[in-house]
Amino acid sequence: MERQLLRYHLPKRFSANKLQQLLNTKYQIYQQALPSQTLIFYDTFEWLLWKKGFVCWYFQNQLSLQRRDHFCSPYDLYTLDTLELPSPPEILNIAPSTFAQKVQKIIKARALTPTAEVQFASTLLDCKDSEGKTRLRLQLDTLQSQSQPRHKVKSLIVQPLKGYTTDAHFCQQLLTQNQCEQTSKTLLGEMEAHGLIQPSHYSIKPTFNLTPDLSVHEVISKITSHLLALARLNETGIVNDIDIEFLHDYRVALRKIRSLTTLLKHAFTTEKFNELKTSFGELGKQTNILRDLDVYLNHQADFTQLLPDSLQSGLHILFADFQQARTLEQNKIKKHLKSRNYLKKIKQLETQFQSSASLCHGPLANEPILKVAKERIYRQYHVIRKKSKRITPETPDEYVHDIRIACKKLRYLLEFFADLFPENEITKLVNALKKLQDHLGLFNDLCVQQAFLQDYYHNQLKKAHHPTEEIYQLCLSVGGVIAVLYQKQLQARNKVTNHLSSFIDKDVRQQISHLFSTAEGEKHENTCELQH
Amino acid sequence: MKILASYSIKGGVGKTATSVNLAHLAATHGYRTLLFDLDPQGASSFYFRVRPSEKCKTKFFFSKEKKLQKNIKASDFPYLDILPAKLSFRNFDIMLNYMKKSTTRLHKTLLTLKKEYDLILIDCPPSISLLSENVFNAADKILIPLIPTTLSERTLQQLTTFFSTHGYRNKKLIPFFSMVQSQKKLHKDAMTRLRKQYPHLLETSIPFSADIEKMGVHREPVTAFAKDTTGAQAFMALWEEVESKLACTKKKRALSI
Ligand SMILES: Nc1ncnc2c1ncn2[C@@H]1O[C@H](COP(=O)(O)OP(=O)(O)OP(=O)(O)O)[C@@H](O)[C@H]1O
Ligand SMILES: [Mg+2]
Repeated sequence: MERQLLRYHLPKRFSANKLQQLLNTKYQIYQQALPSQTLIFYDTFEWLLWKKGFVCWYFQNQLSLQRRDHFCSPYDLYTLDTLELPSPPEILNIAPSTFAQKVQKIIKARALTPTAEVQFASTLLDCKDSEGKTRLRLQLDTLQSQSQPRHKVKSLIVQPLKGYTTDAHFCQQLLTQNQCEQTSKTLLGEMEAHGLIQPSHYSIKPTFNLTPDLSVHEVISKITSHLLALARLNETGIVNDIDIEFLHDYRVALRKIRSLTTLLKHAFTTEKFNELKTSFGELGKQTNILRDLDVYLNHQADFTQLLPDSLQSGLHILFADFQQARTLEQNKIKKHLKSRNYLKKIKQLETQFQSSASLCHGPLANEPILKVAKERIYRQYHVIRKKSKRITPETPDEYVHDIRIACKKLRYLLEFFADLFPENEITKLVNALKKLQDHLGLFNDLCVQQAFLQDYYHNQLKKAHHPTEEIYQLCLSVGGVIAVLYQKQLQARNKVTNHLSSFIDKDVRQQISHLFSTAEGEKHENTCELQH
Repeated sequence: MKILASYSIKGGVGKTATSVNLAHLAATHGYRTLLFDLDPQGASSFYFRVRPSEKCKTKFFFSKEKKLQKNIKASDFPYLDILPAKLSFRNFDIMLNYMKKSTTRLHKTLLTLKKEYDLILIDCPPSISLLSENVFNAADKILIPLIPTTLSERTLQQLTTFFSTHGYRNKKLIPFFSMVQSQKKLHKDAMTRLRKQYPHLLETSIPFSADIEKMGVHREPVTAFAKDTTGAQAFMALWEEVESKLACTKKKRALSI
C-alpha cells in the first residue's frame, strides 16, 4: 500500500484556484485551505540531526521528529515521535521522554535551537467522480520565510490513488501543459534550494585544503585563520549558555592553534613564538574551570552510579555546589568574552595571522610544507616510541601523561596535514592512534578527577570552622568516589600499556616510515631525545 | 498479515455492515487494511463508492498476482484499500469453477499480498459452497453475525457441525449478535439460550439501529459519518474484541499526506 508522491514545482502565478479551474472539467473539486501557520525547524549548532538524516520541527503546538527523506509535510501523522509543547522555546530543553531519548542519542550534549522559521500554508484538493469517490488528491504547499519574504517555495504534490492511475496520468499531462515542472527534490530539498533552510557546514574538524607546494608560513596562516574563525563562531553560544559543546569547541580550536605554533615554532622568531604561546595559553586558561565543571555536571549520572544509596546525599551536596560554582564561572566567562580587552586581543591575533609573511620570520617559514610535515610527523611518532619503550609498571603516572601529550601532538599533526597524504592511510593511522588516545584520555581523566576532588575536599574542610553533618556526608561521598576512581585508574593504566605496545609495533612503524620518512627525519630520530 | 472473514449461511444478517465498519476501524487504528468484497452484488464496494475495473476477467483475477494487484483500489480513507469483485454472474461461475479445483486457492492468492497489508477482511456472499470452503481455509478468524432468533440457532449449529465433520477448527468461528432489538422478548430469550450454548460468543452485540441503515444513503461506514452514535460505538467495541482475538500486528511506516 506504499504510496508514491509526485512533486511539482509551480510557476509564479499558479494558484489553487487556477488548479481548480483546470481540473473542474473532469472532477468535482473539494478544496480545503489550511491557514498559514508558523513552522519552526530545530537543530544543533552544527546541524547534527540534519547530518545524521533527521529533521525536527515545531508546528501547531507539537514537536516532531522524522527521517529527513520521509519528511513530506509538517502535518505528517506518521512521524518517528511527537511531543506536545505549548510554545516554541529559544533553547529546547526536552523533559525526560521517549522523544528526548531518541533525540539525545543523536545530539548527545548538544542543545536544539531554531534553525529556520517559515510560514506554511497548504491547500488540499480532492478530485471526486460523479459518485463522490476520490480519484486523485492534490496538496499545494506554500512556504515563505518570515525574515526574507522573497524566499518562497510553492510546491504541489500529486498523490495518485491506487487503482486510479489514469486519473493521475490525466493530471500529470495537464500540469505539464501548464508549465509545471515535476521535480525529484523533497520538500526540504526545495526549501534548501530556495534559501528557506540553510544547513551549516560547521565542523570542529575542518579540512584545510592544503597543497604540497605551500610554504610553512602560508599553511600557518591558512590553518590558524580557519581555526580562529571557528573559535569565534562559538562565542555567542558560550555567552548565551546554549550547551556545553560551544565552550568545548572553542577550547579545541584554540588548543589546536597553540599546538600548531609549537609544532612549527621555528617558523617564528623566538620572541614572536613566546609572545604567541603566552597569548593563546592565556586565552585557553581562562576557561579551564568552567570546562571542568561542565564535564563533572554532564557526568553526574555516572558518578551517582559509583556509590551506594547511603552515600548519595553527599553527592547531591557536591553537585549542587558544582552547579552554583558553574553559574558564577559562566557569568565570568560571559563578561570576559564581551570585554573590550578580549575583543581587542582576538582581533589582533586574527589580523596577524592573515598576513603570515610578516608574522613568520623564523628559519622554517619559507620551507615547503610537505617536507616539514613529513619530518614533524616522523619525529613525533618516534618521540612516542622512545618514551613508550621505557614504560614499566613502576614508571610514575606523570610519565604516562607525557606520552598522552605527545600522542595528542601527533594526532593534530596528522589532522592538520591530512590533505598532503593518501586519505585512507591517514585514516588508518588516525584510527589506531584514536584507540590509544581514548585509553590515555580516560587514564588522565581519572587521575585529574581524583586530584580535583581531593583539593575540593580539603578546601571544604578548611572553610568549615565547625564541621557540620553536611560536611561529613560530603567528605564521605567524595572519599568513596576517589576510591572507585583509583581502582578504575589502575585498570586503565593496564590497558594503556597494552595499546601503547601495539602502536609502537612493527606494523604501525613501517607504515610511518613508508609515509613520512625523509633522510633528515631519520637524523632527527636519533637526536630528538636530546631535544626533548 | 491476518485474514478475517465476515460470513454467514444466511443473507441479510449484517455481514457487509460488519465488514465495512471493521475495515474502516482497523485502518483508522493504523493497520494497513484490504477489504475484499467477495460478494458478486458488490455491496461493500458500494459503501466505499468504488466501482470495479471495467475489464475484469475473472480467469486472471486469481491466477496472477499482478492481476489481483491491478484490481485493488484506494478507498478515501488512509490505510484502507478495496478489492471489488463485482462480477457478472457468468464470470462469477468461472470464479467458482476456479475455486472448485482446490479449497486452498483463495488462501494462496491472498498470501501474495502479505507484504502490503496487516489485515485482509473478506465480505462473503451468503451460501455454503466451494467458495465458502476457500474462505474457511484462508481466514484466521471468521466472524458470524447472528440475529438472535431460533432460526439462527439452527444455522450456527449447522455451521459448527460442518466444521467438525470437515476437519476445520471450530475455534476459528467468532459468532456475535447482530441487529439486536433488545425490546423484543424473542431476541432476549434467544440471546440467553445461545450464550449458554456458545460461551465464546463475543460480548459485544450490534443493535438494530437506524444510523447503521443510513449507511446506504451516506455511502460511508457509520463509524465515519456518525461515529458518536450507538451503532458506531457498538462497532468500535466489536473491533476491540476482534482485534485482541486476532493478535494482528501493525507495520508502521511513513504515509503520505
Ligand atoms: N445493525 C443494523 N441495524 C439496522 N440495519 C442494519 C444493521 N445491520 C445491517 N443493516 C441493514 O440490513 C440490510 C442487510 O445488511 P447487510 O447488507 O450488512 O447484510 P448481509 O449479511 O451482508 O446481507 P447479504 O447476505 O445480502 O450480503 C442492509 O440494508 C443494512 O443497511
Ligand atoms: Mg452482504
